[in-house]
Amino acid sequence: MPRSGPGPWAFKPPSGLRHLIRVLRTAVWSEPAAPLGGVIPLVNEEDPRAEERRLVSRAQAGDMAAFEELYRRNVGRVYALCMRMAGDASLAEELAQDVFVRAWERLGTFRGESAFSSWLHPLTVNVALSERRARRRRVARVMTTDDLTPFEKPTRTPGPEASLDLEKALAALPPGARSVFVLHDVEGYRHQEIAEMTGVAEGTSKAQLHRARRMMRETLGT
Amino acid sequence: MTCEEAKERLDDYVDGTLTEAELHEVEIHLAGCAGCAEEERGLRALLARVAEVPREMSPSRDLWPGIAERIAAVRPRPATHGPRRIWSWSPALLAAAAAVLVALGGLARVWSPATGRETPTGAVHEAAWTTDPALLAAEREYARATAQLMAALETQKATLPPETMAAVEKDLITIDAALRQVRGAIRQDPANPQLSHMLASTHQKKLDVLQRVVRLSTQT
Repeated sequence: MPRSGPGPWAFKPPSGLRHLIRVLRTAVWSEPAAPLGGVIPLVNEEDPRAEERRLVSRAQAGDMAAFEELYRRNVGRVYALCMRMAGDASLAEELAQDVFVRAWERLGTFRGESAFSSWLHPLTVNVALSERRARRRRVARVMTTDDLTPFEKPTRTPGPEASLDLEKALAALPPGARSVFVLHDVEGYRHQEIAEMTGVAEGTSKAQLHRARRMMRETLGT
Repeated sequence: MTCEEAKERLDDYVDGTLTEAELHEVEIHLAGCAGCAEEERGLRALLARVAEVPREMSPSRDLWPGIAERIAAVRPRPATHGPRRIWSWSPALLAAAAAVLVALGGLARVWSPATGRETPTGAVHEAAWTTDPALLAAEREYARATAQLMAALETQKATLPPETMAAVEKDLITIDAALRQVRGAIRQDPANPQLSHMLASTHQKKLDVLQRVVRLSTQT
């Protein structure tokens, strides 16, 4: 019996959609943030990457002021990823600090072939995953997913109420399911890539995603 | 296709990872099953909301002071490409680095016996000592950088005095031994962050030695 409403043929997911999303997400991650309340100029006087390259070169030579500027430009994205991976504000702040300390230590490996923010992205994922593995081993550590206060106060980039609900639901997921959900549905990684990053089987990644989506839908009522 | 089978494929369906044949089967089922179609709509609604989440968040405090404090004592590792600092290579410095590594190796030996096998390019049989993706990624990164420097050294070593090359090779053997020992220790105690740090610093010492000798060879 035909169902009512738009049929499934109304949207036929193209093959490789996840990859496309990831490419787009990477592009978003890579773009320099537009100034608050401002507009992106149609014509740039100078390649925006040129200034970043200069900052990186100075930082590679040990200039902390240049590195601070790189931090200021990227902390919002790094912290958002840490926050979603960790589900806890104070832990996310620690992780974000670890990311930039590690970035400083490894600046010599950055060759400028991509945007600095793109270079930071996998580093951030690795730091967050490493911490989760270490935390899992420390049995005595108290689970922190009950701490939802970070989402009670809107941040510099406030989303609508629905977005805050989503962040709360995300923070309440079990850590393994949350990591896979963030990496796959928020960041656009494929299961194969997630399996490589997290060290689990691809099937486990799929199962975790299914579980996470089901729990998210139950919480959000979608 | 049963509802159970359709629901099992819904994640792949909305992700666009089904084959054409599977896609067709699911679409036929959805066209005739209101319950599964509702599941699909709910899933798409969730993904639509996820797509709207802000890309940036602000921490509740400025994290920079803490970062600045931690990195103040550490200079960035030298660039393997692009800007480089001027190195003042000296045999004494190499000897000092080797001495530190011998000490590190000795420390690691306390924890566990050596495992792993170093290849000429610095790569190692990864699964033998860790499954940590971060460590494995770092290991690959170091292996790549080491291989590049080894290749550069290979083409330039004729310009160096034989006794210098002999000293360098001896240092590299010492460092590789230390790397094997640290990896063995990590295998025994994978959660120990000090061991990860020690592994990174030992790798870096190896890169430092290689970079200095390559630079020296290009200056002579």
